Amino acid sequence: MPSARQTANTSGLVLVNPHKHKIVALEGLKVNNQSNNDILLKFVDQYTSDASKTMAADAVQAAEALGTGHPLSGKVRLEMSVPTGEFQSLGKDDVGGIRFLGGCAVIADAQTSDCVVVAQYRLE
Amino acid sequence: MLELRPVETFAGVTPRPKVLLPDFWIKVSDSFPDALDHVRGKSMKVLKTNQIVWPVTKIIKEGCYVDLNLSNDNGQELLYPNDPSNMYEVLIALHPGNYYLLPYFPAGQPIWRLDEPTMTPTMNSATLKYLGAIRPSDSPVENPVFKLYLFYKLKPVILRVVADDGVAYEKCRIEFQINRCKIAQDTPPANVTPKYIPYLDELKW
Repeated sequence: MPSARQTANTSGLVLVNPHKHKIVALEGLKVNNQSNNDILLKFVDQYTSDASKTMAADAVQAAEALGTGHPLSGKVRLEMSVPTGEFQSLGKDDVGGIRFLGGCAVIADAQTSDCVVVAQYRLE
Repeated sequence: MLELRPVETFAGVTPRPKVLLPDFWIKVSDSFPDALDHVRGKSMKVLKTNQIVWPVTKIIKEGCYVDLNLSNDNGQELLYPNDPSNMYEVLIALHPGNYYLLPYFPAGQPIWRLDEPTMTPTMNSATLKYLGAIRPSDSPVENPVFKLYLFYKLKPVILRVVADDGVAYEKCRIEFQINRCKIAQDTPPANVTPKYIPYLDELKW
């Protein structure tokens, strides 16, 4: 099972790049926050939808970029707060249902290399 | 008429190939139009085959749809043969997700409907948008059963990919498993029953 590591960053850092034909399925998450502050983490889905038509009115639905230009505009799939000095580990029971249609990026409310995020995932 | 069927039992089952193989025979329907007279009503022998997988993925907002035109027209999916002596047997496999397909042939004309005139797939109806829908569980990647036969100069087949309500966006992943067949007109041996290929319009009775 692949895994990816990043540190807390307010601009967002990519954990998993998107795959054209696969979905990123989260299997586990480990966060070690040894910084002096509690950290709020958001895990966002980054993708661009295809242009389509609405079923209700047959109107054009333009393609939308969610998080591909900037992670902050991505669709939030998971949000968690990690108190200072704590190590949190979430297993498959906790995050197994969380899937990313595109890539996965993590955004923090504070920037520090003392908060490390490791994600375990599967491409399905 | 009501029938309560007993559990069927089988003995001496012979496995049957899922796709056409070399030396197999097909019989193309007489109902094919003039433009397809290179195959219309003819018995054809499969000379050789190869299998090509082509994945197509669309991320679609819920309550919206994308029409996949499988033909070789400009800007379309280019999944048709370009040679009269080729035929594509296409298995359409669907990865899991909250979406479904509605086939149209030609554009705007659904293949499946019921006898009552209102019972036809209708996109802006909360109920009729599901009429004839092919769900991922109907033709899963592990065992696809939704199949099309595509010939040179056949009118475009449209697959409407619909992202159903409830998931904001869906990544609709469709795998076309194309059995590319070289075919030639011939007379089948007396002990062989060719596989009958109807014209798509014949399904719309």
